[in-house]
Amino acid sequence: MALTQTSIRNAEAAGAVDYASKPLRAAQQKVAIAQRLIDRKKYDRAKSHLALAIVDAELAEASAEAKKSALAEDELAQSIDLMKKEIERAQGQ
Amino acid sequence: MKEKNVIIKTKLSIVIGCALLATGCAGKKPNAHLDSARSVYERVSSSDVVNEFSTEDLNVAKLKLDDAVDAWKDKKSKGEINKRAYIAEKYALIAEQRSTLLQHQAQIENGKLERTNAQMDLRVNEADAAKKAALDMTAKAEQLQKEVQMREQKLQAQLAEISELKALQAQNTDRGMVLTLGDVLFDTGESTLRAGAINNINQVAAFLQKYPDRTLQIEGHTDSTGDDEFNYNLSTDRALAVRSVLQEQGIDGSRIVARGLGENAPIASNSVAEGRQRNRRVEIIFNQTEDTLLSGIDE
Repeated sequence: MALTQTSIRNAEAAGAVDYASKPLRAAQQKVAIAQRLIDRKKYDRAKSHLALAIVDAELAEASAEAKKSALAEDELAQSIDLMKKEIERAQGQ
Repeated sequence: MKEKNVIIKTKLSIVIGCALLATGCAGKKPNAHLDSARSVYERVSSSDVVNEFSTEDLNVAKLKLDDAVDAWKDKKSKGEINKRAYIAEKYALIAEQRSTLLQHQAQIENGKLERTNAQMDLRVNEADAAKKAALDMTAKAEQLQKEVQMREQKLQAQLAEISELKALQAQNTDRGMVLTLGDVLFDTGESTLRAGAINNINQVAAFLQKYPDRTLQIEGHTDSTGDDEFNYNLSTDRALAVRSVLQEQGIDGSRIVARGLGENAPIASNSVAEGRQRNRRVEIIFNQTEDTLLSGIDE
């Protein structure tokens, strides 16, 4: 359980809430199910869900990082574009 | 890396081949989760970006898929097969996302380099502009200095010219510098110049030769004694006589306007002898030139 929650926290810290909500929600749902199973002392099935939740959380983290890097790249490209235009303008004068 | 990729793909096709062959075989039922995991893995493993940037993640995904296939081959429970297939599929997707991340990161590094270059270009432009401005200002300052020097030289030349005129006994008036040749330089009632006057006029000729831009007016005047017409003719003849001497000295006649004004422009009273003597005169007026900026300035 602790390991799963760490994975989810990592995903949230990477921005999964905004950028990868679907796999994050899948992980959270599995944790909730696992919690209910633990309450009913069905530990083996709970463990199973927790293991799958970790994979969901890892995917959420990877997806969020990928999305953020795409945005960062766009932003950088735009700033370079602006600079190049400024250079062209300066050289045109 | 490519080679590795081919090997992975070959292994995969063997796995798939087994699975497909096995489908009809005893006991092993087809599993939708496993099929899904396989097709996701196949798609991801054939991506160029994944093969370039995240082969390690792809290998992990491959191991997970093998686990799932093993479970299926070993006829494990459906739940176990489904669980492993789910994990395998997610790991394939993770490999895909990682490769996307790494690709963007690589492009960001390139972009940073490009940005640094652009920043340097911008600074070079700025430096060039500043340098050009500095050079322009230096050139302007030099130009101004030259102008000041030229004006000073002109001023010195004009001062020299004026002091030469003063040496000729010319007076500064509002008509310009005026040299007055007195009555004593002519025989009474005549327009012939006496020898002493010639010397005086030769100095004027020397001045005119030195300053070829200068032009002259020569005006003859008389006192009020005697006939108007006689006075007019006498003053005209005297003016022309001065002009002739200058022309004899090589001064171009076009630079000299000579005329007689008779008794019409006295500078003193005609009722006393001294006044009358002052009125009998020839005036040489040095016309102002464009350069005589100092004309009118009293020194």
